[in-house]
Amino acid sequence: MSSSTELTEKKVFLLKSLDGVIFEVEESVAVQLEVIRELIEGDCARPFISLYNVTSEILALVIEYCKHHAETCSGGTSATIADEDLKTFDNEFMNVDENILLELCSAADYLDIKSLFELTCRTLASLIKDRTIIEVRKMFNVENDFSVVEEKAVRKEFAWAFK
Amino acid sequence: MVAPKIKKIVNQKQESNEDKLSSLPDCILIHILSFLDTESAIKTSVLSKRYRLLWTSLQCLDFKFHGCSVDRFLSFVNHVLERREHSNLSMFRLSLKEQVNSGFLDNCIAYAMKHKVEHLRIRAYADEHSPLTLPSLLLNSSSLRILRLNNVSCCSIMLPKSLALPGLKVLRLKNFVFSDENYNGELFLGCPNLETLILNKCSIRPDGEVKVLDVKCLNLKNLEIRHWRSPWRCFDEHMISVNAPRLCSVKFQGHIPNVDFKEDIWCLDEVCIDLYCPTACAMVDVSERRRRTSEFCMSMLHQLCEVKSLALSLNTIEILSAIPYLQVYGPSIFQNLRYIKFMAEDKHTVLTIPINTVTPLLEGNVSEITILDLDDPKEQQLLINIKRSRINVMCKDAMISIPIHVMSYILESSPSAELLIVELPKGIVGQDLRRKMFTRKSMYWHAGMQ
Repeated sequence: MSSSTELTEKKVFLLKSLDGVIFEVEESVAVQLEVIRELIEGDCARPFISLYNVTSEILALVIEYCKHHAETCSGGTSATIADEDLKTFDNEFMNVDENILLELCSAADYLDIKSLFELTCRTLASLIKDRTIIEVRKMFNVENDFSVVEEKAVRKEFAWAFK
Repeated sequence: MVAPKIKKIVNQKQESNEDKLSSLPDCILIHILSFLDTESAIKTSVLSKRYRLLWTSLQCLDFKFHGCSVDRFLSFVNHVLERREHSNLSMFRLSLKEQVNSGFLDNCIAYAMKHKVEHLRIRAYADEHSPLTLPSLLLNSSSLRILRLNNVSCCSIMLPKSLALPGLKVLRLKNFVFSDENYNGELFLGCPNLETLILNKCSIRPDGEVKVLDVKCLNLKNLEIRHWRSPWRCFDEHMISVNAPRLCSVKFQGHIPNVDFKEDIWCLDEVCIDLYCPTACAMVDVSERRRRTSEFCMSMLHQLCEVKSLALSLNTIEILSAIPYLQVYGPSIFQNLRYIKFMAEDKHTVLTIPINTVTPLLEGNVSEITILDLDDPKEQQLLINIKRSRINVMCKDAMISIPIHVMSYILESSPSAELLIVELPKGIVGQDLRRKMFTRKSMYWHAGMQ
């Protein structure tokens, strides 16, 4: 969190999560959340911005992500170095369990952070790829609501895709 | 910095049985599926009722043949195209290295173009007697943003002489031979908004009428020429003439192409060069070829002297070292150069060293520099020394070594340089291997000097 001297220099905004936790973020971080950018531009960001769909646990991660991206992009190093740094960070950042990943994905969609949305969708896809249907069901708790006969029928319908 | 927080959450892994995947809205689920190849995406239809028809709304179709039966693959593609909802496509990829009828390829491309595809990627192998002629729907598309064509057999896809793709931003051509049959100088003029051009394994046909490939793209930002394949005997004759004043990034890999940059490029940010030059070949005079490659590389660097970030592979540096007195190319040519990078083939670790750490070594004031790890002062992070006219950068078991006259010249030519970025290959275990690497490198060096 910023010290009081920084407060006078940099604009900060307060974000309130679903469970009532308030986060203080600098403008460079806040503007990455497209929904908030609109509020800031319309001067509707005071005293704080309520984010009804995001828990504090997820919001902390989202802010961490945006902060790192804002710092790296304004760090003054060459584009290639910054890109590599972000790639390493993103890989590390995606090293969370599937539930967190799904919540991050929804949050990125709701807060309209394009790069985080793409990153989480790609990571989720990589979890599905190369896994059998049974493994995917187990991993994400997807309940199989087909009866045995129905599932057979679907497999027959798309037999051309199942060899 | 971030890691502890993430770990904390991982540890309190929730034991809920909630199906958070299926509760995502359709548009997000479809977006996730669009990162999968189409076959894997369709297989999710049996997960539960929720997924049965989701795939029919996919806007990205990715067909890559890697199985055993071409017939099965063709029928799979046809089934998908018939059964999907006929919404517009953002991406269509067809990748085949087995020979198929060009009619099938034509149908697929026509389907993609009718659905206003933005990103089209075709890798095709057709009978050379009936190659694929790109349909006019493609050649005059206003939706196309990215086009990637990979000509598996050199004569599978006929390149058109002219096209009109006003929205095209990225063009990537692989394995094409330019000749008077497919090229009259107009190809790139039809893409006025092109920002990225990648030519991979392309060439100009020897002894033909076409001698110059004209890349006149006023909005081009990135140019990449990889593995240029015009024969060496045509080096002076065959030229790529580049007229692209807005270039930001230039990359070369493989044999050096004869490129002439028509204008000064003021906003050039990055140049990346990884040259290849044969070390032994009965058919060519290796040392002559090396000398000419290095001279040409230097004159090209002169044309690109506004660059801010220059990356050279270790191979390129060895080739440049064939010129004993690089100083004849004049001092301080790279006035804007801030970052100098040495690229290793098998990159493992990347180290960033401030330039002023290295200069005392080159000025002869010290013979060795040790940089310690700030987090763990007992751990030596980096050792730089000079031995046998080479500057060696070592980190744990990995090492690279650069001829000192090349290193000195680069630093003398770059008065604004701030950082040296060194890629180190994967760690070499034990003393034996280190010795082995050293011997191999020095042999290469001696062979090159003759």
